[in-house]
Amino acid sequence: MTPPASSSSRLSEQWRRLWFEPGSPDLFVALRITLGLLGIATVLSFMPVLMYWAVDGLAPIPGQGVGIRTRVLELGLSNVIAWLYFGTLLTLFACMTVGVATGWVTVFAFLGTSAITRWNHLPLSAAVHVLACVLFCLCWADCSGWPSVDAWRARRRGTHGPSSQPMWPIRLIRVQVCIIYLNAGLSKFLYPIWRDGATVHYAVSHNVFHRFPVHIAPSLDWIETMATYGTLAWEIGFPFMMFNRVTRRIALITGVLMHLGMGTTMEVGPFSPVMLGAYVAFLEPATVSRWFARLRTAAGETPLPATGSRIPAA
Amino acid sequence: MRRNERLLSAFLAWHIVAMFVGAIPDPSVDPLPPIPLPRDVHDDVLASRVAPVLDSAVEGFVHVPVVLNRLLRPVRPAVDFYLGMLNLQQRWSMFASPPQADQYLRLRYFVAPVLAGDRLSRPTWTASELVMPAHDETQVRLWHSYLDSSRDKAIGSALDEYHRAMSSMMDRGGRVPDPLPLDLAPVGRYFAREFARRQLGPNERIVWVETWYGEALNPPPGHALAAETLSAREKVLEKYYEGPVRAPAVTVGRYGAREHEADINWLLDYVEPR
Repeated sequence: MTPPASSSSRLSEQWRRLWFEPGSPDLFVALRITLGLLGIATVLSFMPVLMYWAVDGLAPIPGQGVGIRTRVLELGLSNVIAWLYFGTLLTLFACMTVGVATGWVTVFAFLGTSAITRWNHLPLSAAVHVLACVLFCLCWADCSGWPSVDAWRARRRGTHGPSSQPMWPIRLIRVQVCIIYLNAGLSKFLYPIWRDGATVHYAVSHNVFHRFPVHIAPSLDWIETMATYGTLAWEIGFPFMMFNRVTRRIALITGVLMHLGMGTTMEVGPFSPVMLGAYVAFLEPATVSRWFARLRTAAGETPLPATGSRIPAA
Repeated sequence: MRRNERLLSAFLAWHIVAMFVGAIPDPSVDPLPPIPLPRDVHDDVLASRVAPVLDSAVEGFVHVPVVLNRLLRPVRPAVDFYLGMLNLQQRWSMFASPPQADQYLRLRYFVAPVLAGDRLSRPTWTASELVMPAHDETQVRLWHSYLDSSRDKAIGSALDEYHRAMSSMMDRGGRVPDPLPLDLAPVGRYFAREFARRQLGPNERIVWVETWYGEALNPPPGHALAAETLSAREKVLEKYYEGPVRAPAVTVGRYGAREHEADINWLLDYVEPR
């Protein structure tokens, strides 16, 4: 008979299983492709290139930080660097999408994305910050699995990528998304306009954000009031709803509907797509593996050995 | 746990702590909004019942960030350094306080002819260009507005930073600062350069740029703008959508000057010689 495990070793084992249990790499591949495409869409949203990427464009006056932007301007290289930065980042996200030198490309895509905040923060919405945070987590994972150029090359060499890997980067993305919503919800809670139930009214009718040039009739204001309180409750409740499988599904489905609703009624650039892209991390790895197995069969690829991983609720 | 798992666990624990600490607003840097006194919300039945409950809840909650900041003061520098180094900011206050009025930004370029010897005459004409919103607000916004959203965001951020800088400078001195903060300068400089490239002849120069910030009423819930008010505003905007509006130059404005077009109230927010 084995002695009962101490509470600290039980805790340690739970922690180990929570973060280091191996799972199928397919979820990482799905994230790599999704974020690659969203990265392209985000970079393309900063066009015309010279308006946002040139030091003398719609960018803060140089003179702060370590002086790189000042030097670029003095050397007359503003336009060259603008095109170089834009082109490099676009290429990195394209390589990430198709899986060329995936490991390095993901790291450089993260560095390039997070450096935009220093280069020109003026046109950045939260989409860029979310993208950087999620890419940071993905840097630590091997995302080079099929379908990718890396996997194709490996097969030609007679090798193959990992059949499983620790799930902690996925969990870190989930924690990050929870922090985003909790923080956003609590920040909103501090402002009277949210507690008054009036925010959605002002946001969807604001001349810079509205997608449709129509004013909602005052008789329908109750819908906007419900949407305001619903958003507040959902954002603050999001992390707590992750602890149960049913509430987790409700939170995620509500999130999808919220972001689709926001994207349909308001022009907020790449923010809604990027947030929805981060939701890929909340998919069940086993489900994603099944989808990939079907795709592999359809493409005549060798199926990956099953790992049977199933990440419990975050 | 293996050794590498223990090391990784330490990193994960640190990273999560950093994310949480970084997400807590520091009231000394990022002041919390004031809690308003009990007030009438609006005619909405739901809001009139929910708002007082949330107001009373927030009165207690508002102390939480202050207390947390005090407790977390020892780790704050390390967290700020770590998140700053990676550019992983963790303040997510999107749409926490959306504008409650429709917003516009208009630039007025003063153009002067170049005389012999590269001397400049007095400005003879002006062109007023609406630069925000980038998209015609009377039209449905589709693909092109995806690109326009970055321009609106850039101008909106510059405006916010400028107004923050102005209010902090005015608070200290009580007077309009001279020189004005530079936060709005990139907007005027970029569009003036583009305007000069597209529209000016070889013997013309922009000598002065005025940046006018406009606001128009966005009625509160339960109210709607009168049709005549809306149509008058649309008429004004239509003129700008056709391109920069030319007029003979009179005198250059001073900070704080005001103009009205339909229900849009314009304030001369920033001026800069070129």
